[in-house]
Amino acid sequence: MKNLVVTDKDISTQHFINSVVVNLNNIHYSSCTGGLECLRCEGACYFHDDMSLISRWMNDCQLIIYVTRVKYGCFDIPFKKMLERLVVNREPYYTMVEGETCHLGISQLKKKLLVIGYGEILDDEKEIFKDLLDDSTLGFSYSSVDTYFCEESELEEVLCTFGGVDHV
Amino acid sequence: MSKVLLLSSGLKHTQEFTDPFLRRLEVYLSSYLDCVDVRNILTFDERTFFEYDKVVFLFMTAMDCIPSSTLEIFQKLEKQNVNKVDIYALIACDEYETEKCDVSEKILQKWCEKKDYRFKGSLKIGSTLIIMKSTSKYIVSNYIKKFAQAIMNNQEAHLRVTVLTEKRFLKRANKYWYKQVKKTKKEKAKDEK
Repeated sequence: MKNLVVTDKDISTQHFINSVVVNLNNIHYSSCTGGLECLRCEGACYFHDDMSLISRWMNDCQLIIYVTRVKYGCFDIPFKKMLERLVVNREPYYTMVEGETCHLGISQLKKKLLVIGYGEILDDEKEIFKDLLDDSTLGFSYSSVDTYFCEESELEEVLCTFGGVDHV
Repeated sequence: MSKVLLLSSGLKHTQEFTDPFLRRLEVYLSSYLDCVDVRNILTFDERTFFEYDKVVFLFMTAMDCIPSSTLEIFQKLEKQNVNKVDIYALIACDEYETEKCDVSEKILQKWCEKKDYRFKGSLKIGSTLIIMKSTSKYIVSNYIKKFAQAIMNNQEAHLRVTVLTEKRFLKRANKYWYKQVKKTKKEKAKDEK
């Protein structure tokens, strides 16, 4: 597994020929219940669905691309639900990183994260979203986290631009 | 007399972590107000949202951010008529730093701004998994009381509380998880036998 693209919108797979493209509209996954049972069971989630495989892929790949609608400075609901299931990829114990307490990710493989946020996004919402990414990537071994925002109508064009980024 | 809704909007099973806060807040508010209603994501009816003067969202952050269950409530309310409601939030996180609740508050604030609700502030609680098992629970109760008073008096609230020191947090919280993992392993081994 080299690269992974996760999208909440139907996109052309031709842009990312070296990646596995996961369209959240085409997979089945339950909502996380937040009981943290998975942290007690060393990463074994109660639900056995498509997320069982995707959360493993997330650990193993070197480049992750998120294509998500941004609303109120946050991921939209389907994407947020998917991210909540990734709690299985965290250690239960707390560690200090950059002067803050956090859970370390179980995979220490260095990886890159590119987030393409689309929708009608105001400047302050972009800032909130970047803060959110800063918080949620702490403890995970990302060598870079990049964010790009665009209107929904521009998304196809933007994906054409970023298409091929997974060849590197 | 104002009507207050305490809306436990966290993920289904995180509500057990925020329940001690909810119960205390309910007790403090009920001693002064006649109408304090408590709902969760399963019992919440969006059609009744605008019958309240004040709504308090209570949730624990999920993956360092506002939980999807709260976003779903926002979505349900999009279809409802707009009315002036005061919004407060009690946000809890499992890490030591209450700053981990800041992004969730900003998102809630942004939603209020867009929907023309008045955001009146929050109480942020850190170290949620262990704080009510330590002596800090008395301090937390005090903060919840202050928060309840702000709600009753229509005042803004910007409160935050966590366990006393970072060192103590790391020791106690890691011990908590160590015990939880050990207990689960034991139970599993018992089931296998």
